[in-house]
Amino acid sequence: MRLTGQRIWGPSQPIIFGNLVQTVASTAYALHIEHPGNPGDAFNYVILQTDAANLASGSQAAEVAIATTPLAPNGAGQTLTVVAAQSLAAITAATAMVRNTSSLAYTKLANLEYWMVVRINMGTTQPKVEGIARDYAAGVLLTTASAAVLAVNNTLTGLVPAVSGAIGVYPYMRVTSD
Amino acid sequence: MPATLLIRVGEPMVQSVGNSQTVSGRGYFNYMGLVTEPETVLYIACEMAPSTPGVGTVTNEWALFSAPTAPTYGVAPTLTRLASTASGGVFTSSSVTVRSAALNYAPAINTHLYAGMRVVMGTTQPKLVFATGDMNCGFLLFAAAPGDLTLLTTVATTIVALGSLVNGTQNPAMRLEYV
Repeated sequence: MRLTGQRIWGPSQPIIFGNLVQTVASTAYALHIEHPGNPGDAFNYVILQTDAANLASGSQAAEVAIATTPLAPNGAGQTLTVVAAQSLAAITAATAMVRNTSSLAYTKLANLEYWMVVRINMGTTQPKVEGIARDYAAGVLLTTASAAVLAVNNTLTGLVPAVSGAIGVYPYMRVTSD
Repeated sequence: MPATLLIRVGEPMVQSVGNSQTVSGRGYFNYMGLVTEPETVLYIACEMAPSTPGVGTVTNEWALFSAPTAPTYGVAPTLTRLASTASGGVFTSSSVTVRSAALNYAPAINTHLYAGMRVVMGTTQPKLVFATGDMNCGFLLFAAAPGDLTLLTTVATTIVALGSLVNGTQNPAMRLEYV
């Protein structure tokens, strides 16, 4: 029994419930999409869930993106190339799902390594969101500090996060085709 | 040498995180995946929490359902019943596994499979291990008052409300045991 939905993709790392992760302003967080589905199908929305007790505040500059790398995760940092990007809707509401304001409308190609990416830069308070962890330094999670606005053809220098044990270090997100 | 018969376990795509009391008469439905190879579902199982077992007479059903498509963000599908039983659930002890009676059902290849359950106790509803993290994706569905699951042909569903990211509990964490 294959435990995947064909229209929704999540990270392969466990959610560490109870460990909210404090997002860092302008850091780009990338999660590898292990089984991206059929070429010709679309990636349209990246979704995040806000936490009512840890909302963002202030002016918002936030984007989500789909990026590719030359190689599958291999324990080393990689350069990510953004192939689709959109602004993230306001993330200041009480517990709610947020996603990009317009569809990414990205048509998947064969034989590419895909990643979902988020970058949040708030004027006052960065949000905490549910964290995932246990990358085991495998490079399934990559991070880029002080990243520029996510836009098509931009590149990100992705680094493998430090081993964190059970502590969440990455925002939990999913990508959908609907 | 005959092949060893292995019982395999299928779990939902979302996480088991906490314990919660079931709602009397509510039908719970968890997406278990796309069937890609021949297999026979033996049981649906869940786990009792360490406290608050059920008390009183029990009415309980377990069922397998299909959906027309894979889970779709924001869409609650109508499910079609494939197989069911009203036997097997004993909800009066804490910290034990509760299983359906044997279903022995072989879903067709390419079936989008949901496991379902409903329990009504005469006095106290049992507390079970729950899953959360649906994020409005339709992996976890419910029907408030579907009636006896073994008598349904189809059932309209609702996506579970967004759960707390810290300790949310949305649906019982059902598993499939299959060969």
